[in-house]
Order: sequence, then structure tokens, then C-alpha cells
Amino acid sequence: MAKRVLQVNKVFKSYNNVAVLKNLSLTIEENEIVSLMGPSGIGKSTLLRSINKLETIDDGDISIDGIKVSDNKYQKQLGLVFQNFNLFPHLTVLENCMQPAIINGISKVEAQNKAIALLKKLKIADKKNAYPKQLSGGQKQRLSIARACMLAPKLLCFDEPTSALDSKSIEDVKGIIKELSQEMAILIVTHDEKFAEEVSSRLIRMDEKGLVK
Amino acid sequence: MELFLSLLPSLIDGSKTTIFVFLVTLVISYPLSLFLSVIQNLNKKIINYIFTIYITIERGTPLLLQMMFVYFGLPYFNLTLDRMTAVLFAFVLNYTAYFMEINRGGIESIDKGQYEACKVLGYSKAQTFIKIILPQAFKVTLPSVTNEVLALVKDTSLITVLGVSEVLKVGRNAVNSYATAIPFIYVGIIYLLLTSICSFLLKRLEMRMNYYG
Repeated sequence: MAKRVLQVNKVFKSYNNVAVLKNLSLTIEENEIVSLMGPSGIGKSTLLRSINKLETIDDGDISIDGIKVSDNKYQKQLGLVFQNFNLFPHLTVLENCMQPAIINGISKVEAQNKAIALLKKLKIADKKNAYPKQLSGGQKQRLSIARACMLAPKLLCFDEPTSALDSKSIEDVKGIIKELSQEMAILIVTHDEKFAEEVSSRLIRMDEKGLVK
Repeated sequence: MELFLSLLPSLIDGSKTTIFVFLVTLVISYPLSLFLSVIQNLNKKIINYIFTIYITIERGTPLLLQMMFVYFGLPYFNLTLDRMTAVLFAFVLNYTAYFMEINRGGIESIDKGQYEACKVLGYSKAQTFIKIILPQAFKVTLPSVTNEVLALVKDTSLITVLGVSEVLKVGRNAVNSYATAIPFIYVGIIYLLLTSICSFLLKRLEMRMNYYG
């Protein structure tokens, strides 16, 4: 039986007394690629943000690999690739990639070696001294993925991964996601039906009642 | 030419005082404003209330009045400062307030995605501010800082009111002694020279900061 990585259990979240997430539960197992789809405003992004601690849930539990959202170690268990990447514009590609390791007390040399290995894997090592503004959309996303993977998370989340990419880059990111799923579970929030069907091992649709498989 | 040569030693002496007040004010007030902006960004209600009062007073009253209050007014509160200390005290307080307001504008202009990326990557509030937000805000605010620096060069002429022998006072004395307006032109040229040097250096710094978006 595959190990459960993400467990979202009976989560409630509301804004200004309007419930967005109502008694929502979700489980993702290791090596799974789960795409979350649904109409705008249904709560997909709220769920993703809640999992990534960018929102505080009103009730329920979220845990990754058994570590609860309230635990200090929780944040290291997951990575997030933002829709618009949110790279640090004043840092080089290599420095951007090294940040999570340095912030978590890993030595500069070790962080650099790890970052270079990841940049090579994602085929942007040749851009290591460039700044984000000098990268294409696809390269920015690969850097964002490398940065999110620096601490070897158990769960990697993608927010609308195809929205800023051309068709060639979309094909590339499909391959990257499939490769990464050998090492971690993947959760994707997307509107791109075709992409979701092609890349996911499980597709979940959200509607007003909650999650629908 | 004869007049210029005879005034040159005293113009140089006066310029030294002008440059001294300018440099001491800049070297203390700008770093101090950054430090206070860090504290301001902690969003502690009472501290921010105190900052608001301080900035309102400093920006809402003339620097000349503040300088006179420090030199002539503080002795009524049993605090007597010599001329130069009073000048520097008033200048530093005034320019720190202006720089703080410039910093605030710069900090508020940073995309909230940068804060979210920091949060997801595990940065503390202080790390987020010092490593990610401030360097970007510095670049954004550089044109405004340049304006303020040029204003500071010109504001140093106010210290003549307290009888400090700076370049304008030297010029005024020479006008009275030689019954000609030519010394004012020399003084103008000195201010122009100082503002041009500052402008050139800060423009170069701005261009150097253009390495990222």
C-alpha cells in the first residue's frame, strides 16, 4: 500500500463569513500526480494556499508525511511553484536556487553544490549567473521548480503551471513533473484540462459541494 | 580673477564645513532611516504611532525652525548644544524622517508575491525584510533618494543662520566687504559643483542597479 503524503482532513475556511472550503478532505499518496480542477472561485487556490500555510484554516487538519501544519518542520516538507514564479529579481539564478538551503542553515558550499546539481537536472545550469529578467518563461519556471525542490520536499505544489508558458515549455514541464513524481508527490491546481489529463495520475474536480473525483 | 584668488582660501574653508555637514547628515540619517524602517515594518501599533508623530513634525515644520529650536530652544530645557552639534542634530532628525518616508514608499511597492515566496521558503520576518525586500526597495527608491541628497546639499546653506561659517556665509561676508555680487556667483558654482558630483555618482549607482528588472 502506497504511503500517504498529504492528508487534508475536514478543513473549513471562510472569508468574511463566506465559506470557501467546507468540510474538505483530500489525500495524496507518494509518487502521485494529482491535478485539482474546477471553476474560478471554487476554492482551489485557497486550498493550495492553505496547504502551503499562506492562509490559516478555520478548522480541520492538514499534515504532510504525518507532520501537522502547526509543526515548525511542516514547511520543509513541501515546495510551491507559484503561477508567476515569484523569483527574487536581485539574485542570480544560482543564488535564487540556493536560498532555501541557506535560510535553513545549510553551508554555502553544500547549498551551492546542491543547487548546481538541481539546475543541471532542470537544464538551466548554463544560466546560473543570469538574473531572472534575462530568462524566458519556461526557464523561470524551471528555476522556480529547482528552488522549490532544494530541500527535497515530500510534496511539490504547482499553481497554474501552464498559464505563462508556450506550447514547447508546456511539453517540457510535463516531462519535468513526471520525472519529479519519482521522488515526491505532486499537487497541481490548473484550468488547463488537456494538460491535467496528460500529466496526472489522478484528476480531481472541485464543485460547490467539495471535491468530486 | 584677483578677487577669486583672494577669496579662494575662505571659500575652501567654507566648503569644507558645507561638505562636513552634508556627509555627516547623510552617513547617519540614511542608515538610521533603514534601521527605523525595519522597526516600522514590524507593524507594532504604538511604535508606528510614535513614528507618525515624529515624521509629521519633521516634515510639517521648516528645517530652519527645527534648527533654531535645537540651538536656541533646548537650553530652556537645560540642554545646551554647541552650534555644530545643534546643526547636525537637527539635520539628522529631519533627513531621517524624509528618508523613512521614501523607504516606506519603496517597501510598499514590492509585490506581495515576494513576501509569499519568502514565507513558503521558510524566511523569518527579519530575513524577508533584510535579504529580499530592502535590496529591492533600495533600487526602487534610488531616484527619490537622489532628489533628497541634492536637497540636502542645498539645505546646508541654512546653517548660516546659526552663524556657522559655511560657504554661503563666506560669500555673503565677501559681498559686504568688496561691495560686489560676484562672490555669490562663486558660491553658486560651488553648490552646482557639489550637486553635480552627487548627481553623477548616484546616477552611476542607479545604472549599476539596473542589472536586474
